[in-house]
Amino acid sequence: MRVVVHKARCQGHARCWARAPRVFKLDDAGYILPGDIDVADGEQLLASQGVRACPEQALEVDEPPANSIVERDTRKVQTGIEKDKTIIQFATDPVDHAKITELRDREAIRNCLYRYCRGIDRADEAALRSAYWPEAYDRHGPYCGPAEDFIQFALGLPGHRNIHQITNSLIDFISSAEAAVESYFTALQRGPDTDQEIRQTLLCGRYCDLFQKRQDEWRIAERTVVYDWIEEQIPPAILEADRFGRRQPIGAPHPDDPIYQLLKGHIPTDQDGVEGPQLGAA
Amino acid sequence: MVRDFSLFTSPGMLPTANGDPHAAVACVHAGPPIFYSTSNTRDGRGTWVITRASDQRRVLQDTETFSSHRSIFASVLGESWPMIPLELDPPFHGVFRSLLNPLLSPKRVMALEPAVRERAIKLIDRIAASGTSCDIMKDFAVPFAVNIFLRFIGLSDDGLETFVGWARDLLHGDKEQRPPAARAIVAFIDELATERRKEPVDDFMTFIVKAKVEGRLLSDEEVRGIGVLVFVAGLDTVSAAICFDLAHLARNPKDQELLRSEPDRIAVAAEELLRAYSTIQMIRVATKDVDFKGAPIRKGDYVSCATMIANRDPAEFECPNEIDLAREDNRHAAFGYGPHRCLGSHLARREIVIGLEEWLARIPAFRIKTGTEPITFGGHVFGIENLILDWS
Ligand code: HEM
Repeated sequence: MRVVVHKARCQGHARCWARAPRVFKLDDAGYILPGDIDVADGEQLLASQGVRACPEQALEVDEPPANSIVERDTRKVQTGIEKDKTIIQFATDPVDHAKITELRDREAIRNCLYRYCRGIDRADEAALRSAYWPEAYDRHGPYCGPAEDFIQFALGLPGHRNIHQITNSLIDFISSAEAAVESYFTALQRGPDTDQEIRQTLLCGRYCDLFQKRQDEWRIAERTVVYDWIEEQIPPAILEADRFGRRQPIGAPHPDDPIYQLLKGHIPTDQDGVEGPQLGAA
Repeated sequence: MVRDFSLFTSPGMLPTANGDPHAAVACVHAGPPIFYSTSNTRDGRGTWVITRASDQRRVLQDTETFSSHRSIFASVLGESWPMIPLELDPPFHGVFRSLLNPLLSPKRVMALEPAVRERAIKLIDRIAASGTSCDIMKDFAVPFAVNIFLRFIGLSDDGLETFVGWARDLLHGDKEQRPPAARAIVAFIDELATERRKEPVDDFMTFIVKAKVEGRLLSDEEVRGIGVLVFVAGLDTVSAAICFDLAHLARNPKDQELLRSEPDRIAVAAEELLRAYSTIQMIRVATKDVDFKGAPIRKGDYVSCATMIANRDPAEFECPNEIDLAREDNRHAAFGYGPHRCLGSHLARREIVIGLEEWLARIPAFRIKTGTEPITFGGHVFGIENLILDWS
């Protein structure tokens, strides 16, 4: 275990030294000596208490801590915490690394859900593919089978206008590398059916996903789409471009949508959007 | 943004029998991280009030934006010299801090410890011999703190009563009593400095008058600024802490018995008592316009960082209003944060711990004397006017 000393932040409270005088050495003025500290094995618990005692937060444990079981100080007898209670805690760290990892995992999962939406709505193959592990399985309404086939199916629907929104997501970790994730979706879909009739549908439901983490990346391993709401709407007769009028640019498939300009580092201009091909028969 | 709150006039802040001013201020955590109080200093000035410990840390560490230059003491006399190092800002502050740090370092305080213990024992033995009741403030806490101060700067106990009187008038006196007390303290420090310049001995004042900063001797005003600060900084702070601690133990016999039977716990318990019964409100002056979490702080505004508020912040301390004498990870703010961290904190801690150790070892189970009520008060320094204990 190594303690990083932010010497400039030390204000001489000497609380680290009061807790672990053998670990934390002070100068004649009572401030910590400069330089990081390699803590000897038997001193780790005391050293981490010393780190947590610093009012200025000038000390930090360097390495990610091992999960370890430590005996809690039994002095709590008087004050309501049971005697000899054993708790699991991160014995060596002032920052809770486990908590930070969990937050990062949650954010990565949410991001993956959003990539799926971009993939579907923009017919963006790379984005769509990046949401699934290669051998992932998808039970997706009329479609049921390898996610790869679903991807091909979804990309082969020209002239569709889709808007997929993810709202509530509940992420339950099954283990450090697996999570059960339930995400509400609202989908507006418009496009020709097999008889070339334009259909417009409001669809709501939930993606019930088994997420897996592999080499620091979270993706869907299994998806089941559960449907909760459907509304067949009457598609408008007037062309989409006419209905939007001067509201430009209109969303387009990959790579013509203005977002891809932004992703390449260009700020989309009015021109970029107006010139783009337009989607949707009506 | 403006709230009806003041450490001087809110309920529980004026002298209150059996009051609990710390619990009374803890309610601010239900509100915003910063608000404006229209009257929050002794002379009725408004201040911004920072309620979160993490924000106070930010303010007190950022001395460029939040200055300590205020001349609080000198203003009692209508003058404007700074108390040193309290009312100086970095980098000049650091020059004096470096000079003074070794005098009150943890190592130096260890050397002072036997003298501190001897004083405590002497005072307590006298109390024990004279009956089964006493006023902690008058009979123990104040004389103990003044005693240590005299010892620290190298004076005998001869003038003890006089010093105690000055301290009382300055810190708790009214408009009439404060200026003469301040003047007396200044005259005493000035005179002592003159004497030590003429005839050096091995003591604090001699060290100060012979010390050099930036290659020159200290000016008269600087010597005075240091001497006066050391006099006022360690008196009512230490005595109030001892008083709050003994009041807590008198009201919580289980805690009292625990510390009496296991004195090893006193050092950790004293930290918790410092947290729960912190006494100081720190004030800073904004040096420029800043928006602080949406609050428009303007250049010249006062900003209050009250330790008793930071130390009851639920974001920093689990169950902050519960007093847990074995609390862990107790990085409380009782001695402030940032470069002005209490210079005397190591001495103060030893005074408190030794005071409690010797009291508990020499006085049997004690309680607040029936028919008496400790009177608490708020302000820049929270305190108790009287604490009559009884062990008959
Ligand atoms: C329980 C007792 C004490 C408490 C709660 C206490 C609290 C504080 C606090 C909060 C500050 C910071 C003020 C600010 O930042 O504006 C401070 C500063 C200071 N205290 Fe104490 N104090 C105590 C005892 C003492 C004693 C015994 C001494 C002297 C021997 C002392 C000397 C000082 C000095 C010289 C400063 C100014 C430090 C600077 O500005 O760099 N204090 N104290």
